Amino acid sequence: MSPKKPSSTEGSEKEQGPGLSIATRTGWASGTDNHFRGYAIGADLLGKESFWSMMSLAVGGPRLDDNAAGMLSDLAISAAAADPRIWPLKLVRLVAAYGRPVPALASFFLTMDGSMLGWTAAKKASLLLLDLAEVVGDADNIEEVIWQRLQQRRDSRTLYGFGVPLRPADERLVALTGRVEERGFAARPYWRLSLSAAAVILRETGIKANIALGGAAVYLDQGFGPEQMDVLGAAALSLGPWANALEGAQQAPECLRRLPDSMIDYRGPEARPSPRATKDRNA
Amino acid sequence: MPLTKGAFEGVDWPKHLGAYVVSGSRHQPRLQGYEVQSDLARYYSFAEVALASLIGEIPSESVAQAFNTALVFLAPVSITEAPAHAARLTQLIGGDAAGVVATTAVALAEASRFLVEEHLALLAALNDGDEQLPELFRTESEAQREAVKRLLTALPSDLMVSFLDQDPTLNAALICVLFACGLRHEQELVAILTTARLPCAIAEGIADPNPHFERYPTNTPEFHYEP
Repeated sequence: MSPKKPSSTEGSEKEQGPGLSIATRTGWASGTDNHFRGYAIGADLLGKESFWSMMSLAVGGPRLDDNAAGMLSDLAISAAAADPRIWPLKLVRLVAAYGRPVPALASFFLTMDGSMLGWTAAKKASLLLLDLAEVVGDADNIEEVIWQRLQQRRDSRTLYGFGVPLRPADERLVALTGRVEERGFAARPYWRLSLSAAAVILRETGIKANIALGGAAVYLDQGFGPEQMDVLGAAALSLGPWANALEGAQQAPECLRRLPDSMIDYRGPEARPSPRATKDRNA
Repeated sequence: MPLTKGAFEGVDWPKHLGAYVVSGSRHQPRLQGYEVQSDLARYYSFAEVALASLIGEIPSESVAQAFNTALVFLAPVSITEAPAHAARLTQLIGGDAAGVVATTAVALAEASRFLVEEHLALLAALNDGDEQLPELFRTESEAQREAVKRLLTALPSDLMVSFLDQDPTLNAALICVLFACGLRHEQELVAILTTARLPCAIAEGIADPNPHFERYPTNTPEFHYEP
């Protein structure tokens, strides 16, 4: 495929402007009963669907039965870490320090999107699982094939879904695993593949899997693709940020709005006069 | 029972936060080592100080002039563009001052990221010292050629800027100018593209003296529900 001309340039070239019609599947304000992804809210959805089934519809997925929706709920609860020292949550605290929770939450979403953590890690881990699924196929020696493929992918700088800092295992993945087993999802293909990948990488490198890998497997097994994970993952990971955003705004501590100067270790240039100040002084 | 042994307790974390740009006391700060209130404020423009913040040094006269020219070329944001349009909608909905500014800044940062990502091949060519402008960034538009000519007229004659004689698009030309000013990385470019455009986008967003839903073109562009 040949590279595309930058659209930020082409757009300005079109005298007539782009087409002024956009198709949408998201919804329609009917005036009597709002439509949501093809269903009437009052007539079809209200009282019948859970929050996570509605999230599935929101991202273009199907209505979920209670067990499938419960699995997504379990994922969100498993991941509900809220210690304000966790780096993205400390960021929430910094923005909330001026007294409002919602901008603080917005900063969390903006920071995490495209970062190396959270749903971005799950999305990238899902790409790894999709890739591994393709090469593994029906092979009997799954772990060997996985390791060979991972060797070929060594150009990827980060192995998303792996790495557990500060503790012996990812307690969130441990919790999620219990729920996956209890709900009868442990035999699903991407979950099994994630277990194989986790075993191989632990054996070969000593690096342990984290919840991004498990979350990616859960989403893939429910038929969600990487793009849908941005939205599902952001929703799933919002419990800890909401808790910190609200408490942080309520406390609005001065010490977060500005640390004492004594907490600073300056590593920049030494004090110096500017060229114009020097010239003026020498004139 | 107090919880004392968790994941964060076993590490001897540093106590200090590293500072690289701003030093001195809060009432007499220095920026990149230059005293702000009695030196920078007296001898330099805001644009020069902004560039010094990013590149670490006071820019030369010609770099400062080129940078200022690029900022002015970048400044206008039409209401047809999403950031100013988003600002107008935020104002219409009744968002407060911080809501208008934050929404506009996010939209502009996204627009800037989009533009820079579309020009990564140009950035690579600039960093590699290539002699030929990649074909993607050549303009076929007479209007753009004229705009680039106006840019050239405003730039100092002694500043070397790559590719400006090879028919670049205006956006490509502006990125080349910013690169010549010392902005070499994606983050720096996104920062300056966003900063340069923020005042105008906000101004256009809040300019309607009597915002009202009935006077807003709600169905432009038109959305068709196709479930």
